[in-house]
Amino acid sequence: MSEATAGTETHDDHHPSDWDYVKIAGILGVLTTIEVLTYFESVFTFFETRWILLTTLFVLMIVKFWLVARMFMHLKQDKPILSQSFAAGLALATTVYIVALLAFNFFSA
Amino acid sequence: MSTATATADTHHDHDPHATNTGISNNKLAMWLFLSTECLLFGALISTYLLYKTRGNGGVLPTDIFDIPFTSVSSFVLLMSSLTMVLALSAVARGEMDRGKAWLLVTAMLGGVFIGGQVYEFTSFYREGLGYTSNPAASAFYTLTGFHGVHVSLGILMLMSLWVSAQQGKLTQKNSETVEIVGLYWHFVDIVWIFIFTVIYLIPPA
Repeated sequence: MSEATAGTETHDDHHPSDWDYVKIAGILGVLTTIEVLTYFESVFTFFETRWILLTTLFVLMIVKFWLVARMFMHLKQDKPILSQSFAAGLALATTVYIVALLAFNFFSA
Repeated sequence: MSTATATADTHHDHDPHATNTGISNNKLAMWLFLSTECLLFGALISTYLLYKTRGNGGVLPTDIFDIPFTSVSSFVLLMSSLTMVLALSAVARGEMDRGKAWLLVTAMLGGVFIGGQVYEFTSFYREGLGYTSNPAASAFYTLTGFHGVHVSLGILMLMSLWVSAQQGKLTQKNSETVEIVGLYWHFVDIVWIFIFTVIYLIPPA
């Protein structure tokens, strides 16, 4: 196998089937439903505690973000350089704006 | 001819589009573009977070959010990511009719999301929240409006793909074009996942 041909191969050649995508969408739907239920505090009274609410929402958001990026955007199968370039932009943005929010005392407000 | 040159010629004959990274330049460019978009949306989200309580005595966006309605919009956009990936999957297999149908469904779901946003903006305006009402309103409309423009551009890209497929210009051979548009579409979706949680669902302290 030539080097060039090897270079066009993906990181993980197992591509999900259509049914796999439907299952992932189902999981995303369930996670979104849980997110929305946190709005109705009368359903789950423990979400009245702010740290529980914030932790739940951030965990759900990160899992949804990760599922879409990894499965629907095929980062799981593609070359690591794509994940790395996207992660670099995301990390830079997160760092810059957390510092900006800290500078404006956002977290102490 | 040296061995190295001969090898390079062989590669050139084998695949004229081969790159050092093994990824097409178009796809890599889209990923780098999406990477820079993180900074754009990061700036808009941070601005809203800093201004969200500055209502100047008037109505704040958080006072009039309609969470059940926005939840349905969010769900619609999330499901459009499914139809987008199904479109790519169909085109990659050469099932062009199915691919075209999924592209059309994706564009329609995007249209439903934009329709929902227009309805939301209109109802907010009627409740006294104009673009220049206060800093919180300006930051809110700028953030969600920018996202809406991204969704609208995505719909245009999807429709141009559909037209290309209708004309027979989009085939299994160039399915990467669908993949690149799909990357943009999924990115717009993950930005909304973030906006929905941070802007809509987290209540004011």
